[in-house]
Amino acid sequence: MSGWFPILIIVSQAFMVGGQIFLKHAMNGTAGESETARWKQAVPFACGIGLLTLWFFLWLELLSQVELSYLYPFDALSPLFMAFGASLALKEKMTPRLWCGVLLIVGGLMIVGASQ
Amino acid sequence: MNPIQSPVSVKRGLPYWGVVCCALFVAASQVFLKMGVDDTQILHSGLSWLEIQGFVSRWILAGILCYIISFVFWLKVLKVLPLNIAFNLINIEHIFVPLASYLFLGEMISPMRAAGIAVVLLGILVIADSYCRAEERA
Repeated sequence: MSGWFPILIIVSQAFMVGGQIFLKHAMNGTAGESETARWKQAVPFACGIGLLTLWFFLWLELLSQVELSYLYPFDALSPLFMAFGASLALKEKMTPRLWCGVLLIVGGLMIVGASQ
Repeated sequence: MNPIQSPVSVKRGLPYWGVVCCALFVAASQVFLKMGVDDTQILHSGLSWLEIQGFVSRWILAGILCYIISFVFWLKVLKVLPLNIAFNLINIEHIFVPLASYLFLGEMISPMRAAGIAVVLLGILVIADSYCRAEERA
């Protein structure tokens, strides 16, 4: 079972990134009067909430099985996963300056994790 | 690739206040949840289950309420900021949570942890600066 932990951690991060992408997609749409417009916003919103719920329970399960010091570095990588996810799925532009900021945040979170 | 989205002009101030409010409510919820969990451990032997639930649920409920409010702010921020900018700016909660733990829970911040928090803050400033530049160009 322990060999599956890295895969499950990556899956949980994918749920989190996917959930946020769906929420952003829902928030990008403007709520219109027509039923079609409302559905276009409601469906990605529900998908986002669903994926974030899956992430939450999978993360809780992992927390109960694995030490926090093992999990924390993976959690610290979430800004990196989000940068890749947002640039691929939402076509958001990542500039070198933004990558620099993301790497600083990841590095800082790693140091915080190591201090535990 | 699309250029970085610029926010709606009338909501120019919202992203930053929204991010700060969202992070503050996350920090408050973490402190309330921690206080709720700690009280469960302290009261466990002295009170009946119903008494514990009545007392503890106030902290836990306050924590959940703060989390819901932070989520509402998060949705408002997502409406005007690109996801990767919003998600990285919200890491400011990693500064507010240790600060709140120090102020309200009496937890100590080690020099190494303070250094990590400072690096996170630097990253947030770099991202905020880069977004401001993109906004000025737009």
